[in-house]
Amino acid sequence: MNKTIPELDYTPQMVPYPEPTPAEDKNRVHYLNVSDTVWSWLFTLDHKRIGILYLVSVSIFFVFGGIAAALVRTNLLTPTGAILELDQYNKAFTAHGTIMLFLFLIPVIPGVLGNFFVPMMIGAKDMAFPKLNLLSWYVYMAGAMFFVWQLFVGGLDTGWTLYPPYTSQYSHTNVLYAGLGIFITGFSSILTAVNIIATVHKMRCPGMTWSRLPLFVWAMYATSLIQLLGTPVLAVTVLMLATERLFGIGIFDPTLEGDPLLFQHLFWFYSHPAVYIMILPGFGVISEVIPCFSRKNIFGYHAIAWASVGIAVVGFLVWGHHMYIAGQGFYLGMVFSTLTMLVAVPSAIKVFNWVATMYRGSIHFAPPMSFAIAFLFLFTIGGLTGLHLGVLGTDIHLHDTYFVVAHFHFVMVGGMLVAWLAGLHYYWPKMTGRMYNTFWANVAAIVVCVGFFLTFAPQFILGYNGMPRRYPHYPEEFQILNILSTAGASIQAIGFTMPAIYLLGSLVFGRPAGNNPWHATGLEWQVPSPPPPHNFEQIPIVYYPPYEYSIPNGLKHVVIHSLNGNGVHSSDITPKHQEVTSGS
Amino acid sequence: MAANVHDAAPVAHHFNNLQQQHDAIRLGIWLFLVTEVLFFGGAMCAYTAYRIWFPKEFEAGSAALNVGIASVNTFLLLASSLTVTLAVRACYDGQQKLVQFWLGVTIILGSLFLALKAREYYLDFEEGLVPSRKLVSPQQSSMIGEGAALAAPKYAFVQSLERALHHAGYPTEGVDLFRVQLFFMFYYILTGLHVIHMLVGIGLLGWQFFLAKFGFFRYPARYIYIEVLSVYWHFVDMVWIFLLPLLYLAGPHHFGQVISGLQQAFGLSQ
Amino acid sequence: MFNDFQLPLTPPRASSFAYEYDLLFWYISLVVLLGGGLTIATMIYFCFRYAAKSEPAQTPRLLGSTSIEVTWTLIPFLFFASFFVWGVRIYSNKISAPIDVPEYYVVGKQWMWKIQHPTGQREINELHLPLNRTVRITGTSEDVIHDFAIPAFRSKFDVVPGRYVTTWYHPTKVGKYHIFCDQYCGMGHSQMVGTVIVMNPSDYDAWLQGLHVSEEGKNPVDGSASWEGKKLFLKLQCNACHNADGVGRAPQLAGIYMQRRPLQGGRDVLADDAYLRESIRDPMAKIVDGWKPIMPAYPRSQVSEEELLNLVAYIRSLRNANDLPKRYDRYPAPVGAPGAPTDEGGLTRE
Repeated sequence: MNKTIPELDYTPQMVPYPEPTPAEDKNRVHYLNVSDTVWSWLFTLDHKRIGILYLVSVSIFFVFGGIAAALVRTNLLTPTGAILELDQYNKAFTAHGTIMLFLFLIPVIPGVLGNFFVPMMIGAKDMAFPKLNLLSWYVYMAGAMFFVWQLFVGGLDTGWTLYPPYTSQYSHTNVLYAGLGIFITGFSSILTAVNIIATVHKMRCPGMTWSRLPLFVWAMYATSLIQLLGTPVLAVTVLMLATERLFGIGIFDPTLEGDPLLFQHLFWFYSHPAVYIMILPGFGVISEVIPCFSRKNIFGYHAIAWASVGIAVVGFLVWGHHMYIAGQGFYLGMVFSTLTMLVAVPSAIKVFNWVATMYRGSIHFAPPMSFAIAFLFLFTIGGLTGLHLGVLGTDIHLHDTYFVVAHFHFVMVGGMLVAWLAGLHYYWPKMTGRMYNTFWANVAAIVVCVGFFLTFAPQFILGYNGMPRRYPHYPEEFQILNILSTAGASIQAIGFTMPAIYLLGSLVFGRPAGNNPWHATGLEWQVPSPPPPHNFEQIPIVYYPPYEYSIPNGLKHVVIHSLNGNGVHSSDITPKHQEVTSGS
Repeated sequence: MAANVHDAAPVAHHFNNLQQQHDAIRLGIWLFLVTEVLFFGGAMCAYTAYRIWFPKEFEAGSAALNVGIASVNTFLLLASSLTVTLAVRACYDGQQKLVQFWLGVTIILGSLFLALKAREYYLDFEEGLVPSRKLVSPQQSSMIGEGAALAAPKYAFVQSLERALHHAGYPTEGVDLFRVQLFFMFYYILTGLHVIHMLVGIGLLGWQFFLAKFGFFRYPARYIYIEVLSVYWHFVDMVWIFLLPLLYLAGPHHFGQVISGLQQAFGLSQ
Repeated sequence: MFNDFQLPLTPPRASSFAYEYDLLFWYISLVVLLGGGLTIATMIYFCFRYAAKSEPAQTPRLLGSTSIEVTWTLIPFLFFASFFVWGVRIYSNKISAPIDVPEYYVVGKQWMWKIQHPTGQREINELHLPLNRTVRITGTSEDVIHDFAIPAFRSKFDVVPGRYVTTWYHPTKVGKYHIFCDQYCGMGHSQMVGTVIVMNPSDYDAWLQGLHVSEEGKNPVDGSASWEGKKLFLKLQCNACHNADGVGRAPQLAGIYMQRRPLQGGRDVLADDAYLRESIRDPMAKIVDGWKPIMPAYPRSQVSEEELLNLVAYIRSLRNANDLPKRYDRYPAPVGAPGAPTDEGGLTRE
C-alpha cells in the first residue's frame, strides 16, 4: 500500500487548520456593494457581476423550459393528449428542448461559475477581455429575447433538431426567428470561449503551472475549445437552412437533388460536441466538490485532466452516431461506432477516479456532496445506456424512442443539472457571502434524485417497448409508465423549487459564510466572501499542487505573498526550493 | 524591440504588464479567427459535397461569373492587406500621420472592392442569374397533329443562364441547368458572408482612423490594436483567396473573359 | 429456447432478427448493469464506510496509480469493443436484404403509410405478412423524412425523400404489432401509426386472393383520376401497343387531346373526351388514317364508367412521348417506388 502514497516532492509548510472566521465586517467593500446603481450592474466589467447577471438570466430561462416540460409531461398523462392539441404539443416539446439546451445548459456553468471563478482560481484579477465578457452576456440576452419572443407569437414546431425538408418547406412556424435566436446566442458561446482560453493561457499567477490548475479550470478550458470549434458550424448550418426556407432552391431539398442528410451531418457536427460543452463543466464542478468533502486529494489528477481534453477532441469525431439509421451508409456507421466506443472511455475513467477519491476519505454529507453523489449515481446510468445507442446493432430498435430520451435526460439532467446544483450550492457562500440551510438543501438533493429517477427510469422501458419520441398520442398500453413518469416530474419540480426558496432566503436570513465555510483548498477560498472587487489584494504565488487535503492539519493551496507589482512569470518559479519570503 | 514601445502606454488594470496584455490580445484575435475558419469551413464543406456530386453544373455556373471583376478585386484586397500592415508598422515607429494615411488607403481599397462587388451583384441581378422558381410562359409549339408535344414552361433562371453561358461561349449539353441554381446559391451565400465581414472590417478601420485622428495611437505600444485589426483583415483576404478558385475558377476560363468582364463592369460592352 | 422466454414489460419478439437483437441488447444490459452496479455499489459502500467521524480525520495522500488507471481503461474498453463487434455483425445482417424474395414497397407521406404488396394489393397503414417467409421492404417518402418502425421486429429505417432504403423481415410469430413513424414529421407524426398483421400462410393466401382486397379506384386516398387511369392502362396492357418505345402498331397518344385526327376516308375529327371514350368502348367506329383496325374493344364488363373516366383523364395528361409507359412496364408501384427491384443490399442507393 505504501507504494501508492508518493513521497512529497516539496516541503510542505505547516499551516494551522483554518481559524474561525472573524465576525463579518459590515464596512468591508466587496464586489456586490462597491456600487449599487442599475447602471453599474448593466455596464459592469467585473467578471463576478457578469457571472451574477448570467445566473439571473439562466435561472429565468430554466423556469421557461421547465414550464414547457410540465406541459409536455402533463399532456402525456393520457394516451390521447390530456391538455394540448397536436400542434401545441409539438411546439411545447420544441420549446422545452431549444430553451433548455441553448438558453440553459450551454451557457449555465461557463457563464456563471466559469466567469466568476476561472479568474479567481488562477489568481487573476479579471478575465482577459472584460468588455468582451459583458458583450457576451448582452449577445446572449439578445438571442434569448428573439427566441423567447418567437415563442409567444406562434412558437416553433420542428423539434430542436430542425431537420429539413420539414423545417425548410413544410413547417408553418417561426423557423427564421428561432434560427436567428440560435445564431445570435451561438456568438455568446464563442465569445465566452475566447475569453476563457485567453485567460487560462495568459493570466495565470506566478507558480500556477498547468499541472497545478484546478480541474474545474481544465474542464472549462476543454469546454471552451469545443465551443470555439463547434459553434460556428451550427451558425452557418442554420444560415443555410434559413436560406433554403427563404428561397427554396434545394440545398437540402431532395426534389431538387439536394441532400437532407447533408444537413444532418452539419447539424450533428456541432450538436454532438455541444453535449460535451454541456457536461464537461459539470465534470469540473464534481472534481472540485468530491475531494473537498472527502477531505482527500483527487485520485488521478492527470488522468482526469487529460480525459477532459480527450473528450473534447474525440467528441468531434462521433457525430454520425445520431444517424445510424438515417441512411449514411454502413462503413461510415462503423467508423462512428468505433469512435463512439472510444469516447465513452474517458468518461468512465473520470467516474472511477471520483469514486476512488472517496476511498478512505472522510466524507462529509454537505449539500454539494449530496448532489455530487446523486450525480455519480445518475450520470453513471445515463452514460452506460449511451452504449446501447452507440452500438450499431442495438441502435436500430432504440433510435428515436423514449430510450434515447431517457438516456440524454439522465446525462443532461441527472448529470449536468445535478452537477450545476452541486456547484451552485458549493459556491453560493462564496458568491453571496451567505450560508443557506444545509438540512433543506440535503433534502432537496434527495427529492431531486428520487423525482428524477422516477421520471426517467420508466422511459427506458417505454423506449425498449418501442414508444417513439415526440408523440402526443400513444398506444394505451404505455399509459401506466407515462403516468409514473409524470408523477416523477412533479416531484422533480418540487425538488427544483426548493433551492430557489432557501437560496434566495439565505440572502435575507442566512448567516455570514466567512472566507472558507467548506475548508476547501483553492485560491478562490482564500479571499473573503463575497470577494473584493479585484479578487486579490495581493497577487498570489502558487507553490503547491491543488487539492492537498490529505496533508496533516490541512494545507492551503497557496501562500499569498505580495509582489512589487512587476509581475513574475509563472515559469520563473520552481516548486521545490523556493523559500517562502515575507512580503516586500 | 524599440525601447519606447513597451512603456508609457496605459496597461489595463487586470494585466500585470504590457507584454501580458499584448499576448492576451493577440491570442484572443487568433482564437476568434479559428471560429471564423470553422464558420466559412462549414459552408465550404457543403459546397464541396455538391461540387463532387454535380461537377458539370458547378463548372457551368462558374463559367457564368464575371472573372474580370474578381481579378481586379483580388488585387485590390491583396494591396489592402499590404497597406494595413504598413499602418501597423507606422504606429510601431511612432508616426501618427502615416498611420492615418495607410489606414485611409486601406479603407479606400476595401471600399473599391465593395463597389465592384456591388456592381457585380447588380449585373448578376440584371442578367437574371438569381436562384428562383419563377417560370416564364412557354412558347407555343408550331407543330400540330400527331405526336405534337407541348413545350414545358421554362424557369426564368434557366433562360438567363443559357444566355449568359452562350455569351461566355460555354457549351451547355449534358448540363442540368436547373441544378446550377445550387451553385449560385452557394455563390451568393459565400460571397455575401464575405461582404458582411468586409463591411465589419471597413467599419472597424474607419473607427481606428477616427481614433488615429484624435491621437489615440500616439503611444507606439498601441500598435497592438491595429495589428489585431490587420490580422482580421488578412483573414478576410484569405477567405477571398479561397473563394476565388472555389467559385470563379471552377470552370475553364481564358484571359479574354477577364477583359470582357471588366468591359461589362464599366458598361463598355453591349 | 430463449426465444420463448419473455421478460415482463418487454415487447414481443416477432421476427428472427428480434431474437438476435435481444441477445445483444441483454448482453450489453447485463454488462452495463454489473459494471455500473458495481461502481455505484462501491460508491454507496464508501459513503457508509468512510463517513466522517467527529474530529477532522487524516486521510491518506493517494494521488493516483498508473496501473490502476490502465486497468480500468482497458477493461471497459474491451467490453465496449465486444459490444461494437457484435453490433456490427447484427447490423450488417439487418441491412443486407436477400435479393430474390418478395418485395414490398412502403411509401411514407404526411401522415400515412402507403404499402404495396408484390402482387399488387395496396394497403394504408397496415401490412399483412405471411409467417416464416422472408420479405424485402423498400421504402421512400413523398415529402419529409419519416421512419418506418416495427418494434416487434426490432426494426426501423428512415425513409428519406429522394432515396430508396431496403431492409428485410422474417416474421416468426402470428399476431398484430405496432407500426410507428419514428422521425418527427409534423403535426400528424403520432397519427402515422399502423399495424403489422402476421398471418399463417394459408390465411395470408386467402387474404391475398381478394377476400380483403380494397376495390380498385374506390379508395379515396388512392390518388388522382389520371393516376388511377395509368394503373388501369398498365393493368389492361394498353402499353403493349401504345407505348413510349414507339414499337407500335398503335398511334402515339401523347398530346392528342383536342387535336384533329385524320380518319380513314378523308374526314377528320376532334379528339375530345367523347372521342377518347368511344375509341375505348368501340374502336372500330372511327379508325385513324394509316393504322390497321386491330384494337380490341373494352365493354362495361371490363372497364366500368368510373374507370373509363380515369383512363380518359390519364390520356389527357400525356403531354410528350416520354409520358407514355414503356412496352414492358408492369402494374405500377406507389408513387416514388422504383420500377424494378434493386439488387444491392445496402441501406441506401449511393
